Amino acid sequence: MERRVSVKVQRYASNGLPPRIEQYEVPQKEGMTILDALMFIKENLDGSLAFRASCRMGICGSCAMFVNGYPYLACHTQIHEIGKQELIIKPLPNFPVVKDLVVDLSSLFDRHRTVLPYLIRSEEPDDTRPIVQRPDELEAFLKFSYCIKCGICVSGCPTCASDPTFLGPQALAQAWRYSADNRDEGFAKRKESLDRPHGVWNCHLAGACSEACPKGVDPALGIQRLKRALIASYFGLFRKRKATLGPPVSWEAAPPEGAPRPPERTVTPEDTSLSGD
Amino acid sequence: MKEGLGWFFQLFTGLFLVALLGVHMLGMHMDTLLPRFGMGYKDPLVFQEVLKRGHAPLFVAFYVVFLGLALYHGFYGLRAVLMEVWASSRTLSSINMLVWSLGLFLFFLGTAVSVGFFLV
Ligand code: HEM
Ligand code: SF4
Ligand code: FES
Repeated sequence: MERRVSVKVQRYASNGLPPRIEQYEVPQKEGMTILDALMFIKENLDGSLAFRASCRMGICGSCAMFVNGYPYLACHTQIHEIGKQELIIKPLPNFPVVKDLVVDLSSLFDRHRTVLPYLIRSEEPDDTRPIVQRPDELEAFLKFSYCIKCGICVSGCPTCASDPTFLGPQALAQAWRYSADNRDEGFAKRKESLDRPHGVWNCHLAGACSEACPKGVDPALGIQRLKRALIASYFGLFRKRKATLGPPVSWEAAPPEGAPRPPERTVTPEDTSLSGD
Repeated sequence: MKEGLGWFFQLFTGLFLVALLGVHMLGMHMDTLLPRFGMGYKDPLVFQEVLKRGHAPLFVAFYVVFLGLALYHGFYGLRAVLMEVWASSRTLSSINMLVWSLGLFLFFLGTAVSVGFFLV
């Protein structure tokens, strides 16, 4: 017998009517994701259903939604992982709903911008000299750089639920991602947006962000490190090894003796349709 | 004041509270435990004992420090709760005023009682 899953979706159209739940029956295939089920509904049962998705591989951050009371990336979660034959899908909490499962993420991006989420250097970069980064210096920020800005951490955060002006786990984790980077010299500038009411100190370490993040970013850890660095900076104790510049890179120079070689060419440009003819 | 210093002081007072609250709980409310190990004293809540402590300078100092740290810790926590419930830049100064005035009032009241009792 064909296995079926019952999908209840919260519908809302910002037309003044209250949200309502609509139920659909979807044939469940092996490996089917929540996003597949929504696609099936849109293509076969109800074309008016609105949800957001793009990459379908857990990398664009578009498809976060609230499934049976927990936030997931719809494309990254198979129906069998939920362990129920009834899915109740609602839009992500802590964001205003635009339509059905589509929420307005502008507040996420606005808060992200305020923490200056990019490398800040005190001098003009020298394009010919790379900045040296040791493996442990890469490790210091690597996992925080996996953020895809899906908003799941914000949707789970109890402080965000009561205080919409709180910077939130996504922005704070990114503040640490850049501040922890040995190439960055912008911590003093970033402090203005962090060390203020509704800034980093309103994190009370509930840890919901880290538990829910589908990319393993661990925002709660980043935030605690940020707090420690800020307190240390009051006493002049926040220090990073000063980034050094490597030797000038010459793009024409031959590789040094003993360096690994690229594999032999098996296709020549003439073999391909890209050769110009 | 820097926002983070207030938070740091709450953390700091929390640490002190572990010690002070520990002494308080062990001495006053778990009074059957210490005498078993030959420490503390029996019946700490009997009026005569309360009188004795109220006239001991070390205890009075303990009361005032404990009161100050606990009030700071609790009221800074209350401030955090209130500023998240009424999140707006306009309400923050009213919350600060409320929390500081209530905290200072209770601190002076408590200090006046313990120091006043010590002096009579
Ligand atoms: C054993 C002693 C104590 C320790 C170690 C301790 C520790 C802490 C810490 C570290 C925080 C900060 C949490 C955060 O930033 O989210 C906190 C918050 C708080 N504490 Fe304490 N505390 C203690 C006793 C007390 C007492 C006796 C009171 C009541 C007077 C109290 C009331 C509060 C309040 C209201 C908060 C704010 C709650 C929040 O921010 O979520 N604490 N405590
Ligand atoms: S930290 Fe994780 S949960 Fe939060 S926005 Fe980034 S990827 Fe999503
Ligand atoms: S569709 Fe891109 S993360 Fe799900």
